[in-house]
Amino acid sequence: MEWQLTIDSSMLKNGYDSTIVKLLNVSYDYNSNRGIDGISLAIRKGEFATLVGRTGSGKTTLFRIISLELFPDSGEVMLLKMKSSQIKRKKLPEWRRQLGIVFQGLQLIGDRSVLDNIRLAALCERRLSGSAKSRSLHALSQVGMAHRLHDRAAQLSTGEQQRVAIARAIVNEPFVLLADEPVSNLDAETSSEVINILQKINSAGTAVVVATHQPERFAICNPREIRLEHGKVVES
Amino acid sequence: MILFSIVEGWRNFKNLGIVGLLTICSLTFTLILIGISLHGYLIVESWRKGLLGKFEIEAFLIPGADSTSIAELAVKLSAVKLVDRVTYISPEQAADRFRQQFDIDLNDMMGYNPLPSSYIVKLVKEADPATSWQTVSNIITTFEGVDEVVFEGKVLARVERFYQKTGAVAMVSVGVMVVVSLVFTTLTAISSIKASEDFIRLIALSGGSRAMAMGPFIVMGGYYGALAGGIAVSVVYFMTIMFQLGWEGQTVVPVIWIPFLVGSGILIGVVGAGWSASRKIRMY
Repeated sequence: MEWQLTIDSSMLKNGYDSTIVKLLNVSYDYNSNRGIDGISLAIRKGEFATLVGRTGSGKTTLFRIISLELFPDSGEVMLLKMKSSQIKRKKLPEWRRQLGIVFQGLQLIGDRSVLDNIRLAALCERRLSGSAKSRSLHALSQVGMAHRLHDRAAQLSTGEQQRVAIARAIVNEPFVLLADEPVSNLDAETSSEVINILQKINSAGTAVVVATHQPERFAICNPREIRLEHGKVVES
Repeated sequence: MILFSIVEGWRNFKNLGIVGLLTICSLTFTLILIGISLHGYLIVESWRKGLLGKFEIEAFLIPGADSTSIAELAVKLSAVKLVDRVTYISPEQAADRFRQQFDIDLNDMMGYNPLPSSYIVKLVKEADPATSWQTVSNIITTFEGVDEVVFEGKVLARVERFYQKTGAVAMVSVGVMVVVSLVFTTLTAISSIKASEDFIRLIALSGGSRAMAMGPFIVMGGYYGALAGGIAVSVVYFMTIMFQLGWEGQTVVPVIWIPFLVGSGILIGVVGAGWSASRKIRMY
């Protein structure tokens, strides 16, 4: 299981095709319940993958481990040149800045404007050119929500909130976008709009990993399907 | 990041209801107590200094002492540690003081002046009333030519005990209230952190630093402290005016108390909220 990542972020930004995220035999338990069990997989640049499985199969746990919101009990997560076993607390923000996350519950701050929601995330990354506001506006225009920037997040429809959540996830130009059940609560039409947005993001070079229990909706993206059952990868 | 913390801290500050109100009340009460305790301490201190300035040790000389031994004694008395100045009182001057004090002329009443000559000894301001006065008195008693040494030791000791007791009570009260305020501030910050879990998770998973996630809550504590400090300064000011609590040369709250009380409030708020934030923000 010897594995060495020898690329750096600048190579990836310039189109170097290689693995961005790699999990090696990763396990995580919630007290006595097994969350994920010995998962090994790799996510490559520009890839569109779906993480398919029933509720409780470990999809969200896997995302939380990739973002190091949870640390694996065993195994190793690698992101670019960084390793979960060696990462120091003060380097965690740097790790997370390489990822964009669309949470299952969206977690928009309802009493704040759409722009404020995006700008909060944009303020976390100061190395990109352009102000937090201009980057937020750009991200909003990418998801077709620039016209609602001053509205409160709570006033938006579920589909619009989903788009704002995607804009927030891509505002810092991540290498990988992790979207947890992005279409589960949407009707077919809104769902295809959101999938279209994810596809555009992917075609711009960002790897997209979608956790879903409705893989058929993503067939248009021709994704690589990673199937999870009881915390294990059963098909990839 | 500082601007971010200031703006987001203000938002947190505005959003808290009853818990925030309790925090402001407890902080304000603490700061009022600190202000009044300090003010009271300074009044007692001023009163004590004035009183100590009036105390003196009187060393009565053996009757019939000659002028040479009286002069030698003056030198010896002046050389005693903590002695500020010595003043000779002749029998005639002693009779004059007696007449002024009691309106009785001893010469008329008794046909002669029975009062001996004496030295009035004043100690330096730094002399400790609890011990120094008795020590100096004991030393003077051993000097040749001194018949008897008198000073108001018991009154002095009582003044000192009252002064020390007042200081101790004020210190304990302030200490207890500071702890209570810290607890309230801590609880407020915890409540605010719990109400802002989405915000914290967003900052953490978007790659914001721990300082960025904690900053708004720490600044929020500072806002509480500043507001409580402002209220406390006003209350202490009006109390001193209303009850005419002042001392010589200082009749109202000194201006320096405004930054002092507001600063103390900010410090308590920041420490309480900072502690909560460091304990409860666990995304790192």
